[in-house]
Amino acid sequence: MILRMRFREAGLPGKTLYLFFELLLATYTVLILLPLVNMFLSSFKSTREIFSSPYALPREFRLDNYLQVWVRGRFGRYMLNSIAVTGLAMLLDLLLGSMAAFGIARYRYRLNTAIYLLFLSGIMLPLKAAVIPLFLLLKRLGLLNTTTSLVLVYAAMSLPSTVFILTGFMRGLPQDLDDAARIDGCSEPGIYWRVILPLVRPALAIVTIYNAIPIWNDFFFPLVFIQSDDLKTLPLGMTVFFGQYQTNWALLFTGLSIAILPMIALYLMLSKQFIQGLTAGAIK
Amino acid sequence: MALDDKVPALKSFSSVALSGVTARKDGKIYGVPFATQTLVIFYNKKVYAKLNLKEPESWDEFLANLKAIKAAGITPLANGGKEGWALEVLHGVVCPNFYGASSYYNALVKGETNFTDERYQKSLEKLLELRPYMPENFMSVSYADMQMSFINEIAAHFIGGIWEAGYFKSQNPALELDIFPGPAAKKGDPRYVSSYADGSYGVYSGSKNIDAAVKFINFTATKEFGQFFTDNLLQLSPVPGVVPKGEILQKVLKLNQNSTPYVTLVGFRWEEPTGSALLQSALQGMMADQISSKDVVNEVQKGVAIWYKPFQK
Amino acid sequence: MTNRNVHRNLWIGFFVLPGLFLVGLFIILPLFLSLVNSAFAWEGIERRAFVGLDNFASIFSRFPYQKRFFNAVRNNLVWFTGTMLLQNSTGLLFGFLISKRIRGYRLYKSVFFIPVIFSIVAVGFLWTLYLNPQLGIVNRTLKEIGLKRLALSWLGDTRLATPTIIAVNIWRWLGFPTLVFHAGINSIPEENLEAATLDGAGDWTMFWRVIFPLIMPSITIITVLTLIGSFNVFEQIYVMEGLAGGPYYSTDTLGTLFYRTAFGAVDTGIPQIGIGSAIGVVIYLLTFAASGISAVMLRRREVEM
Repeated sequence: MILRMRFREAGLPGKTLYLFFELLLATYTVLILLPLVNMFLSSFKSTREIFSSPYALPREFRLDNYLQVWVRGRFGRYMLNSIAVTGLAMLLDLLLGSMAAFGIARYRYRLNTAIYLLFLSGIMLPLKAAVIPLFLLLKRLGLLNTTTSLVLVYAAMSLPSTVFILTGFMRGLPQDLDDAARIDGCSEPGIYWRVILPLVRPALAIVTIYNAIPIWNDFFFPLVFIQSDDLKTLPLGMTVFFGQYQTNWALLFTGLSIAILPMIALYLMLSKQFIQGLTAGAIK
Repeated sequence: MALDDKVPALKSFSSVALSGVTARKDGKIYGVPFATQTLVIFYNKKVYAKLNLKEPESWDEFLANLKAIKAAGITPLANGGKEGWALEVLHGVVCPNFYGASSYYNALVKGETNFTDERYQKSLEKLLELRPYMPENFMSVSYADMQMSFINEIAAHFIGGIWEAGYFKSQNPALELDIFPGPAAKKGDPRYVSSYADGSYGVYSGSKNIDAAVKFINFTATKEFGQFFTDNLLQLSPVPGVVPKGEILQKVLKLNQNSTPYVTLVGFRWEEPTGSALLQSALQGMMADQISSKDVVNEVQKGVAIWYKPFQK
Repeated sequence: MTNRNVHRNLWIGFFVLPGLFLVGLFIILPLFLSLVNSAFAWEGIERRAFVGLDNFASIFSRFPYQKRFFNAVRNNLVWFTGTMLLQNSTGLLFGFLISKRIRGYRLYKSVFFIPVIFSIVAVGFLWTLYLNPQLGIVNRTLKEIGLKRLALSWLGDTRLATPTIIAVNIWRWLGFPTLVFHAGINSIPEENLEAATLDGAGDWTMFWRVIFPLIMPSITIITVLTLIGSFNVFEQIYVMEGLAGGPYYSTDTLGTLFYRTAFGAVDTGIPQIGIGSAIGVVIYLLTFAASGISAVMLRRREVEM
């Protein structure tokens, strides 16, 4: 590759610059890894130990904190809620989004562009600023303090980018596929489900990753819509540990470690697709 | 639902307690208060004993104690400024004895004076005198940090609300604490404490079980309930005749003989912008040397005057 | 219309309408209602008289709204400039270096993305603990290595608080522009680079004259996303400083101001839906205008490959 840096061939100023850049990159790497490793190690210590020996390895790897956080801190419950909300929202988003993209990409008609733009307008509009009417709307629908409210709002929020990405992919498929299927007697939904959808599977993966992370991590909408503890999602549940009247550093670090684990697991499993997923939308 | 006729016991409650449950619109009572809070200064008895210190009666004596504790290498005061409301509480403990307690408050509420009154402004400056005795980088110290440092005996004083007594003891049974009221300006003067009605129980007028609810709420106004409340939660009950257990709470009861309304919470927290919100952030600015005490009172006055009719002459 | 056309249109409707309905109900309708709400006076959650643009007048000209509003906007601009200057330029540099396959690039690529997948809330909480002035690891380390004078009041100093929160946010986000730019640079066809080298272009010229113009799409995306993000920043401040944007409003932004006004601060506030909605509308307009304008401006500079 032409761009590849040739260290040995560079002169002294080149070499110094190279080393300087390496230093920058290495520093940032350390700045990322140290706090995280420290966070995990601290989760095994008692609060007293965290203060007395903050940098050392824990004296023993006790799971006490984890038990406390999981049970007393109800993290098990919050994790389940997060999984339910994120999962259902993504399913709804993928279904409705792929259907809409299909309706836009595979047919030509006058309102086509208008509908496409209507979906797209959602991308630039920060939904947070409309939270009051959203709140009042959900209240009128009787959906306040329900998992449904979060699922619907997250699905709606994800649709614009989903439609954007999927329409792009679907447009790239040749029109003959549809026609051939129709000749074979396939119904319209059949074309959608059996012909087009399987062909955009990589795009579905990208969309999932692109939307699932912000939904999983979202703090704002659960904050506004959820009041009962039973329904809290993980980010909201964590605020319990930072309440006005409590400080247990050991439990705090443990809570943070637990909250981060699902995303790390997901990341390790899919790191290649992850990065591709988030930059694919960008390049387009 | 208005409770004036439904709960006869309310007539014997103190005016401080009732002020938190009386609606401004129609003057009727809508709740039975279950707790009153008083703002005090907690101190670590072991530190006082070790350094041969006595409970201070005047402001100068208080500062002298703080100085001695600092010289001994212990953090004198746990309080910090990261959370504005903690500064409001601080002002509730320290300032009444400098701005004239209830005589100022009553004039303030009637509109005969306002927040820019020199008495009030000068009283805020007293808070600045505490800064050298606060923890290092005190503006970054949050309320939770404050509690922790007092509980773990790192700091010798904690200026706050009496509700912390039970919490402190439960977190560190070895902690020996006691309280004293905010010091007087001059030795021998009466020492006022800010107090206010905390929470209350109410009855929803659209309830399907009004009779049962009213019966229950009458129970919460009885001595039996008040005693149960204070015994178990270690907080002061506003029900007359209830005798709290434990020295600390009994001491507070005595201190309450000189109680004065907690200015911003009691008088000015019911319309936007609230006096409390304005004061909290402004005090942060003052303690951080960004603005002067004059700026603080001007800001509070300007904001409250938007909606407080007696200030709008 | 022929039968086939009707048949076809029904199917199109079937595919498109459910999604459209959801977006319409939960995104477009609330936006529109916000605008409506801002034109009325409110008492709690009860709507009262129609007041037209009066709520906006409050924001722009009356105490304390005006003071808070312009203070918040100023902070949002600080967020934008700080993030563009520090995060995005460093991201560009890092992306470039990774594309150049600098030693260790594979490690950097995978590690840099880890903070991005964390929730803002987790990051905020974690760093609030670390930045605690006495007990946090940052100040303790500084004191240990003899840099006691740098052990500052990070979140308590009115001049340091916002920069500190921005720094934490950069810590979290840097991996994102890095990878976007990396992908952008990688997608430049070899021929362009070869041609430039043959013409005698050194690294510097290569970067500014060849690469930079060709990655304009990535730059557009990052700039627009940064703009939108800067005007909507909320969680970071809520977690690290609280709703009031303390100390003394030094970290207050449109996001915290909006939430506080609309829903009332925790113990000391009362909701003001009219003015809150007006602030919301302003946030919309600012975001929409700023991102629209920059997108158009940057699109123009995009060079055809």
